[in-house]
Amino acid sequence: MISFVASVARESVTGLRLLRRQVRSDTRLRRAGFYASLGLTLLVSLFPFYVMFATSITTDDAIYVNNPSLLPREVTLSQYAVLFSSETFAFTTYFVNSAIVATVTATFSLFVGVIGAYSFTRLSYPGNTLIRRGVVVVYMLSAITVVVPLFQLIARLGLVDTRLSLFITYTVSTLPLTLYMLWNYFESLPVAIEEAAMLDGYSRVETIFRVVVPLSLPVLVATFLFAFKIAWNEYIFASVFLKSQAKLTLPIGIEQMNADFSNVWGQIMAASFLTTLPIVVMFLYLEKYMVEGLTAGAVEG
Amino acid sequence: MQEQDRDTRSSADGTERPHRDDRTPTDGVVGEAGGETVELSSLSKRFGDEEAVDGVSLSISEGELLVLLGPSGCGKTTTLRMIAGLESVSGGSVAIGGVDVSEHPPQDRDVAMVFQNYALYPHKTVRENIRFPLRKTDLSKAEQRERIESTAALLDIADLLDKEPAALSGGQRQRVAIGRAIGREPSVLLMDEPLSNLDAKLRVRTRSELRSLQQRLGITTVYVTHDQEEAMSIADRIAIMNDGRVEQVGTPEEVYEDPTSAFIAGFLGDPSMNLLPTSVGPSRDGDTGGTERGDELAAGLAAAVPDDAARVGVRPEDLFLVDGSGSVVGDGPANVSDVYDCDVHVVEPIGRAYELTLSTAAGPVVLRARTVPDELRGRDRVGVVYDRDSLYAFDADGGRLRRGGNGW
Amino acid sequence: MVELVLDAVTKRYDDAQGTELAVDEVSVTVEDELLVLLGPSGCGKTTTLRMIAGLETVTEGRISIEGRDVTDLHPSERSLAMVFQDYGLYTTMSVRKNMAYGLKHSTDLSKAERDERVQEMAEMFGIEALLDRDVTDLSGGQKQRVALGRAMVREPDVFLLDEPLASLDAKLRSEMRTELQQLQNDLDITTVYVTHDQKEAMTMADRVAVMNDGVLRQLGPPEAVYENPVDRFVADFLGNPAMNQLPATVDRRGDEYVLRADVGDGRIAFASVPRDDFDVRDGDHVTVGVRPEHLRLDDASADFEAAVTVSEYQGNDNFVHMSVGERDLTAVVPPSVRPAAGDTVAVSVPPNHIHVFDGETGASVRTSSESRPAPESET
Repeated sequence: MISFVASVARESVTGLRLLRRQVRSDTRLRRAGFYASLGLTLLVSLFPFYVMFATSITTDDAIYVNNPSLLPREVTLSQYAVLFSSETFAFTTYFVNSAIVATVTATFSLFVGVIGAYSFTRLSYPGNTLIRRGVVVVYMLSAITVVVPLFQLIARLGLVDTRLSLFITYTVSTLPLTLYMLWNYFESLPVAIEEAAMLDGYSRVETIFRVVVPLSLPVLVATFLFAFKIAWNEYIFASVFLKSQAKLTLPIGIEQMNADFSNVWGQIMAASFLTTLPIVVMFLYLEKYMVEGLTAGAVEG
Repeated sequence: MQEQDRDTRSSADGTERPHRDDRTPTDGVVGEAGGETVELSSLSKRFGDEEAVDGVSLSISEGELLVLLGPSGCGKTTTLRMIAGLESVSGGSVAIGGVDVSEHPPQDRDVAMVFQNYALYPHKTVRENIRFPLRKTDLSKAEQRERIESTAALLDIADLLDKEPAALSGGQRQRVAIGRAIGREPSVLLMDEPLSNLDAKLRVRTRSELRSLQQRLGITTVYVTHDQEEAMSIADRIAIMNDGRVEQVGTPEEVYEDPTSAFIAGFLGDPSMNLLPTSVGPSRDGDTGGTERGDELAAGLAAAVPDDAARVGVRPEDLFLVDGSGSVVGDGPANVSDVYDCDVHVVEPIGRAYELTLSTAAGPVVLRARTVPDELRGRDRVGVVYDRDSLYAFDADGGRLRRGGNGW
Repeated sequence: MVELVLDAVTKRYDDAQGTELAVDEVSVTVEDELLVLLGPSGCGKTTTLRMIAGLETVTEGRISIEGRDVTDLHPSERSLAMVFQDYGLYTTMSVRKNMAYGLKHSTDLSKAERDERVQEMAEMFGIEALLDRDVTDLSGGQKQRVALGRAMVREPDVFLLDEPLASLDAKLRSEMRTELQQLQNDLDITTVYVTHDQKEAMTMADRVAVMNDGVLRQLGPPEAVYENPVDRFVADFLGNPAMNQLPATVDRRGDEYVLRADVGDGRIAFASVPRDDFDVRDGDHVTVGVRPEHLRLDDASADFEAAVTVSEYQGNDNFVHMSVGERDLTAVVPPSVRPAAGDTVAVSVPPNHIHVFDGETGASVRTSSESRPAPESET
């Protein structure tokens, strides 16, 4: 397969080169077309974020006009000020709750993921393949289909309105992704390195944490981030399992704000912006590890 | 010997285990590693229905370098991995220093291994790579440091200690892999095709260094390779494997000069032995036309071995060219055959010698000559003789037919 | 009669780091012969081959086949075929389809004619039994035969091979080597063959072009290059075990030069050579070279003594590694000469096999190659 792809690639590259030579005249047109489509894609994907940010720094007066402008005429931080001083809307509490839930979930998911994915790739035991396939199938299910049975389970365990309910459900729902990313990466790690460690006097468990984990750092960072992001943004389970104000996470909090008050779009947008910010900052900061980790996991050897 | 005695003693609960703690030398000086014996008894490995290793029994003595040689898929690597404990044993046993370690995990066997792809820890510096196994010994920090320095000095990698594997050349990585393996002075050193990732020239250079290092350390070594030249160069003894079994064990000279089967005869040597069917050319009655029996090299060779031989073998270096004056070129043998005229198919200069491919009734025959006299260059036909004392005969199953006291 | 001409072919890569000269004005004419491009990895040999194939653009210089300038032509218009190291077969097709594929697209032969060609070529490579098998089911050697068959079936003017034997094991490699040689002899097709394996080059080439750092260092029949390397690089690259090379000082003694080798803890009179053969002066610093097979350990007229470090039995040869002072020497001797490690041996160096290289440039300073004529490698 690889050699076929390679030969096709080889031929198409020469073809392209030749094509380029022949069509040098309309290169400029092609380039213009390329940038146009790139610009359109960017516009579509970034525009909502722009509106969110622009609205959050606009005064209430300017938001509720008949023909809102795309550029705020008057920049204000009043929406943010209200957000943090409000007695009724506990933004800081929600933020802390989300941070706790996401961090605990991502950490736990990563830990279980490392052990599980390692066992998938390195140990042969009955049911290995079955469990692997199961993981992929579970990954395909959407949250809404399992929310009712899960709620019954959580209720029976007496965990309704506890953070533990979120730890459990989030860990379970992020695990398929974590396992999948990690086992793909582990499969690309040469077994000989682990064997070398065992011959150097280390047990298998020591080998996992002293050799495999350090070698997998990029993909571990990426996996942690994805799990963190899923838990941070999760809405359905949180809305069903949580009741008390003190435990709500950001997505629920923002939704409540919309339900409980009217005409607070400026604050909603400010809250949304602050919700998005940590994820964006984390992704930007750790991007270099992630890209490295993802490709390293995807490419054999 | 003394260490072996300590290791074979039984502990109070009756289990026997070689304990690394018992035998870690305290002086921190590489060069006195010594080794243990390795005993394989009817060692077998099955993968499903396939018998990958089938009853291998070998005794390897202290300080010996034994090469497991064979084509790919012959079971040599599986055997090595069973000694290491990386592969479970389906039957038979592995004993190191007299202690049965068949059920012990790799980390409790006190063996070290050099892998084909080196398997260095890519996230650690050379120094940390060598230190990694030392952490599991009871050497103090200072002793570890000392050991790392002495190992690095021994392998000439002292200036690489702070580099990461990615920054090293293939040859340097290989040295680091060896350093990591011998640093903690294991009882047994295992090597799995350690030179196969080096280019031809570096391979030749490195293997002699490896050999002299092994002899200096006196460490028991099991070395796996598919390269017969490497095996012959480096081994005290070679065990040649085929289809999961050991076909012959002996010193390089023994297996080369006295192969027990056609497989061994054909596997060793570069160029390898010419193995020709005896059913060639004019029949033994001489009734089919053309060349008379004896005029043709293949037929002449076939006639020189007993009737029950299915194949006749002659090594390329036991065939000799005859120059214009009719005398044998080079240091001819004592017992020269008649002269046969042969068609020259290809002449290949390989630098230190020439390989001539001759066309015969039984197919191509290779002759190896140190020199080709100018008068023979460019000739289509040359005179060839063989050494009568260096013929080999094999029966239909590939078994060796031996020469009796006076002749076949 | 097909003539492939490379005229000062140059390849430069420009990137952010600056300009890299991958191939530097290589000129060579190949005509109905097998030319081997030989060199270490990164020497520019593969780039040169790919430029001939049209898979890389040529920065400067011209390439012509049969007097036709092909420098700017598409690969398919050059009338050449190429075999890749990884075979480059279409893994989704059968052997027959693989072989017919190129024919279908580059010729206007009828289906019957194409089938006939494929059949013919399959017989030639002994793969007629495999024609309807899937490529993925084949062994390495079979795949290589199919790749060769696919290349040859188009009856190209020029045949290009890029390390075609590198993925095969040693035994198969030597078999295929003989087969390829035979094929090239039979077809007499202009062939350019890239390898880093000097044994392959020595045995297969009509002429060998040794490259290093993008520069063509030496061009000639393999034996001539082996016997008279133009510089230290070529001397070291060809031959295994490699040529012994030691730093030495020239000492004039009457009609001879005595080459005193620096062995770390002193000097030894390594060899004496006739003055006329080498363009050096008294006191010059040079590198003296001698091939391992020319050192003798059983001669009464010893030049110096050496301590054996490792003795490697090879069956038909012994490789004896020795140390003299701090220098290492290797000798290849007949199996009857068997010194053991630790022995002291008397080494003699035949003067007619001495190479002398300039101490700075590394170029050979032999005045002529006449004194040791390079034999033609033809048979």
